[in-house]
Amino acid sequence: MDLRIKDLIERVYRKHLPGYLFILPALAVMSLLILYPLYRTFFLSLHVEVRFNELVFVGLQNFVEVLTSDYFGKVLLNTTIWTGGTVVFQFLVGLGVATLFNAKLRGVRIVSSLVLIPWVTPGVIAAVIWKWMYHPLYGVLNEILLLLHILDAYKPWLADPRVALLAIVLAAIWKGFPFSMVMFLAGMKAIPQDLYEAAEVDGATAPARFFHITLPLLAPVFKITILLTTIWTFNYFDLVYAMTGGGPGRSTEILATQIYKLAFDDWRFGVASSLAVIMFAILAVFTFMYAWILERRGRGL
Amino acid sequence: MRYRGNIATAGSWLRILTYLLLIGVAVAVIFPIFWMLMSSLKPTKELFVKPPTWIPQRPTLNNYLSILENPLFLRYFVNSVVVATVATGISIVIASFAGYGWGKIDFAGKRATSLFVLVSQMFPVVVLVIPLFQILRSLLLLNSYPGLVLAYLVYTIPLSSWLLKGFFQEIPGEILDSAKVDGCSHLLAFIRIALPLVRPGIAATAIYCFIMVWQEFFFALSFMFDDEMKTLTVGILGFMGQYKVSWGELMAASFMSVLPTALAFFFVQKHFVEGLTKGAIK
Repeated sequence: MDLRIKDLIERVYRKHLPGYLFILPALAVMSLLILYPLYRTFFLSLHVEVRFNELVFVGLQNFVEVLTSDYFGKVLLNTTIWTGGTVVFQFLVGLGVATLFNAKLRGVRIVSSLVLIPWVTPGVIAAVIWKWMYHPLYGVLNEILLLLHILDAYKPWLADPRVALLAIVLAAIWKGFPFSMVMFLAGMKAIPQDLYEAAEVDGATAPARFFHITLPLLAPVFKITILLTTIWTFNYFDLVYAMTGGGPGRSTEILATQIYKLAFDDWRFGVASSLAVIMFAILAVFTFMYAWILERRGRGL
Repeated sequence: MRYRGNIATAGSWLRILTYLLLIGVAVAVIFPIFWMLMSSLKPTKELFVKPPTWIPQRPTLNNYLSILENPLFLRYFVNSVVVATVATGISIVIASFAGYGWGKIDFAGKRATSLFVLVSQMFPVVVLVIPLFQILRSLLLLNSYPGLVLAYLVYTIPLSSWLLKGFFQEIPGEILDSAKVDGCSHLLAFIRIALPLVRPGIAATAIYCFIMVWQEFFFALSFMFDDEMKTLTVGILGFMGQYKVSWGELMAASFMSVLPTALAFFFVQKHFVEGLTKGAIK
């Protein structure tokens, strides 16, 4: 009996231990640097730091402060416009460009690797370039719009509360659409060519082939791409912070920049953490609802 | 039979239209980069003319020379190189073991733990920044290379473990099985057989990590506030607010910080795109 248990332990040990040893360092780092801080943010959101490393429990007071503050509604609205606008247009531009690149024409390969440049440009560098292009007096975008007769005078894009956020969204589309494009293009390449050939024999036009073959078969790629770009954009801090810092006024303030300011300008870790918890909750709810809706629709079909 | 895709078959006018669109897209996407380069080559006087000149009338390298003489810019560059190199090195060592573990060994909890790796890659870092700040503060690691490197493992460990897991999985099982028949332990099979086989994958993963750290701004802004310790992204943003640094110099600095990673990227582009799309397509 004793021997059999010993034998069992020995076998389990042999079977599982090597795997654990191999992943242990990575798992330890991720637990210490991701799981523990996540728990700690929840913990901090219920506390106030009165002195260096000295916390006092305050219940939900931080949440009440955030939810009743004058910035919360505006920041939430901005974050929605910022995320929605960026994701939708990255999707549309990415799909359009991928369709273009899927045509078997000479020169497509060179262009398709050039188009990836924005994606490897650091966010801050992209912000500096776009800020220079948006310059109210010497900005080249003003000049281009003037030449195209869209504008009749230069405009201070980033200083105008009505258009500043949209101006940053445009920069974000430029910076991020190559990811969607790459995903969609890979999806298109994976569609068997004989489907198109058969449809063509049956007399389907190019648009019909696109809507009845390409789009439905890309659905799984669309799902994952939209999920990823939404999560990334929702959390994306660099462009907004570097281009306007949330201004003018609060016209471009998003959750990420607001949390940063509460934490590292005002040094109010408790309040900042409660806003971070709210942000995390929004993202979690979105992800679960997204997965749930897609799953249900998938089953219904 | 020459079948040429689903767009270009409909007729030559459609092909011409496609080419025009292609050129339009290329011009629109490359324009900001082109403008950065052109602006960096203009003398200061020419930057501030209305309307702007499309091509520098009197091109000059003065912006590059003066930003290279700026001791802070060099310092930022060195900081970025050091932090990105060390973070990449540590991640590759840890993630090679982890990638082999998740990719090639069976154990209870394998699915759950590798799901954790996947989810970690999309984790909102804004939610982690305050506790990380406090951890680094307690360890007296704010404003230091080890502190920022530690923070960067948040990004690079999940990313590189995931990528390397994929590369290890591509090794045919029989090769490792035959090694085990010969009495090799997992560790020996890993070092002697698996590791040499995934060398190209390790190179691609390392470059990917390096690019990611090189681009990073949020943690660098939060954890490095002494001027000598800032990385390129934070440093260049700091330049933007100063009268001492002109737009021309700013563009020159930007160009020099994009160049290394853009070149590295084109070197591994194929691996990179494959790794990115593999999970989603299949």
